[in-house]
Amino acid sequence: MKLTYAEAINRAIREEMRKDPTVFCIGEDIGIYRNRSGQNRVCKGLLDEFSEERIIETPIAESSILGSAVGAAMFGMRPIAEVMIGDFIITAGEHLIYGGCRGAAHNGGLKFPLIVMAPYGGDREGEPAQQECVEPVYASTPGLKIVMPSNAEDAYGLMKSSIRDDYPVLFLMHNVMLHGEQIPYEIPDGEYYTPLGKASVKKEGSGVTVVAWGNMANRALDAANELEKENISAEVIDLRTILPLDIEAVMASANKTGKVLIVHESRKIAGFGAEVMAQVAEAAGDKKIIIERLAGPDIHANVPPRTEAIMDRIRKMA
Amino acid sequence: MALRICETDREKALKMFRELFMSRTAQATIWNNGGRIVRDLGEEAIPIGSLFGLEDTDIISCYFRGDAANLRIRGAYSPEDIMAGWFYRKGISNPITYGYPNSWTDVEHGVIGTTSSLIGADAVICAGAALAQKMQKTGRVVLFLAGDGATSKGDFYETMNLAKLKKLPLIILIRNNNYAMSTTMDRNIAIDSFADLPKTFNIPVKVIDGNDMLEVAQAVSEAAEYARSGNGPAAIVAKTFRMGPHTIDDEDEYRKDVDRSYWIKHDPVLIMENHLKDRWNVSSEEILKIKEECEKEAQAAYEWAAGRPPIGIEEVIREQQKAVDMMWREEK
Repeated sequence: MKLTYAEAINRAIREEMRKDPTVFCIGEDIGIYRNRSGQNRVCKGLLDEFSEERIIETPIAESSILGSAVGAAMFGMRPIAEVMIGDFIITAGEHLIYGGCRGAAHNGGLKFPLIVMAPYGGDREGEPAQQECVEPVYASTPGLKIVMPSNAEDAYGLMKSSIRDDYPVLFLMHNVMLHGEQIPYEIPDGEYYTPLGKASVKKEGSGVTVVAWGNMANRALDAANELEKENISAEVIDLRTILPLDIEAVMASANKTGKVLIVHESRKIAGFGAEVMAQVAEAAGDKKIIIERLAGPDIHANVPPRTEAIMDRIRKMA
Repeated sequence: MALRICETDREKALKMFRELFMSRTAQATIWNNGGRIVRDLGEEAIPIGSLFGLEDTDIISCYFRGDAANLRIRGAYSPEDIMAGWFYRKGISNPITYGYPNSWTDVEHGVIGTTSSLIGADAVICAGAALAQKMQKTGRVVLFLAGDGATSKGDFYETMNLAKLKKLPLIILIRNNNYAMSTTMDRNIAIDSFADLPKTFNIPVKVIDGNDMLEVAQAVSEAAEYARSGNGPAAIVAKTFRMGPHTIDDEDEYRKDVDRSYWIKHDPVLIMENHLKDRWNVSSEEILKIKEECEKEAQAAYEWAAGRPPIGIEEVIREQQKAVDMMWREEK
C-alpha cells in the first residue's frame, strides 16, 4: 500500500488504539485542528473514531501533558503524548527523565509504557531552521529509547513497536517528511512491528560507512546513490533508533570499510555524533578506523548539512 | 460513602491513634539514629488522617515529607523493610537504589513515590494517575499532598487547571505549616489564603485544622466522595505547624523567636488522645499502653534493620544496570 510518512504513523496509532483500550493520545490541538488531523497530521481522524475519551486535547502546558502521561503510564495506561514541536519537550524534561525513566529503574523496572512524540529537524536545504535536533538533550538518559524514523515504512513499524514497548519512548518525526511535500511511499501490506534498537543498512557499499538518522539518512542515501556514478561505494547505515545505539551494526560496517562518516543536523558540539564516534573508537580497539563527523555549525539555529556537502566529505574520505 | 466521624467505632479510632503515634515514633527513631528523614513532626495528622479518609484502594502521594507511613499502613512493605531502607540496608524485599522509602512506588497498593526531586512535580503525576482511574473507570481517587512550597511550581497550576477541565478524580490537599524551608508564606506567595488557589479554578475547597486527624479524615472522605462521583477535583487546605527543622541539616535558627506555645498545646497526638478520652471513653492507661507498644515496635524494627547488611555501591550499580538493560532490550 502507498502511505505518506504521516499516514503511516497515523495508521500505526489507529491500529494499536483499536486493539488495546489502554492506548490513548494526549496533546495540544490533536483533534479538530487542521481538518481533524491535528497540527502534526498523525492524529488524523482519531478524535472522530475514539472520541474525547481517548483523544485528550489539553491547554498549552507541556509539563502537565508529559507529567500526566507519566502518571497514567504508572497506573496501567499506554499514553501517546504529543508535544507540538520537539523544542518544547525540554519544559517537561524532568517528567520524562526523572519520572518515566528514573522512576522505572528505581522501582525494579516498573513499567512506564509511554510515548512522547514530536516533530523535529530542519526542512529547508541549506537554510537555517528554528527547529532543532533535540535528541542530544535526552540521549544521556539510561533506559530511554529514542526512535527517529527516516521513511514511511520504518515509521509505521517503529511506531507499532513503540506503542507495544513497556518503557518510555521518545519518538521524533522529521519535519521534512511530516510537514514537507506529502509523498506517498510503497510500504508492505498488512501489519508489522519493526524492532526497536536495530539499525538498518539502507545501501550496501565498501568504501566508506555513512552513519545517519532521520532526514540525514535520506540525504546520505541520495549522496551514496549519486557517488556510484563516480565509482565511489558508500554504505549507508540508518540508525533508526539512536538510543540504544546498535553499535554492532555500525561496527559490522566499520570493520569492513575502515572509514566512518557520521552525519547529523544541528550543532556538532555534543551532538549524538559524538557518542557514535566515541563508541566506534572504543569498539575498534587496536584496529585503525578513521572516524569523522559532519554536522551543522555550533550556533543557535539548525543548518542541516546539504547533500552536496555529504558527497564532498565522502569523496575526501574514500 | 463519606465518613461520619461520630459513627467511627472504637476499634477504628484506636487504630487511627496507633498509626498516628507510630508515625511519630518511627520518625523519632530514624532521626535519633541519624537517618536522613524529612520529618513531619507535628504534622502527622495530615498524611495519617488522610489515609483513614480514603478507601484502601485509593492512591496517595506524600512526596518527601514523613516516614513513608503510607507504604506501611497500606501493607506495601513491612515496617522492618521500610526501616532498613532509611538506613541504606537490605531488607527482605526493598528496592535496591541509592534512594530511600519516600521514593518507592507501589502501584498495587496505591502509593506514588517521589520521581522527580523538584518540589511540586508530583502534582502532574497525580493528575495522570487520576486520569488513568477515570479512563479505566476504577472508582479510585488520587490524593496529592502539597506543602506550601509545592504551590509555587508551575506544575501545581497546570494540575489544577487540567484536573478541573477534565474532571479528574483528584484531591489536592495543601498542608500549610507557613514555611517553605525558611520562607514564610507572606514572602513566598502573593495571596491571602491558599484557598484562593483552587477557588481561582472553581475547585471546591475546605479549610480545616490539619492537626485534628478526625477533621482531616472527615474532610478527605468528603472530598473523595465528591471526586469519586465524577464531579472533578476537590481541594483541602490544612493548617498545621512544623515542630522540627526542615531536614537533618537545618538548625532552624530562623525560627528561634517564633512562639510555639499554641502549637505545643495543639499537637496532633494530644488532640487525638483527647478525642479518644472524650468520644470513646478510652483510659489514659490504654493510651499509654499503645504508645509503649509503638515505641517497642519502632525500636525492634530499628534493631532488626541495623543488623541487616548494608547496601553496597556495587549492588546498587548491578541492580540499576539490570533495570536499565530491561528497559533497553529489544522488543519482539
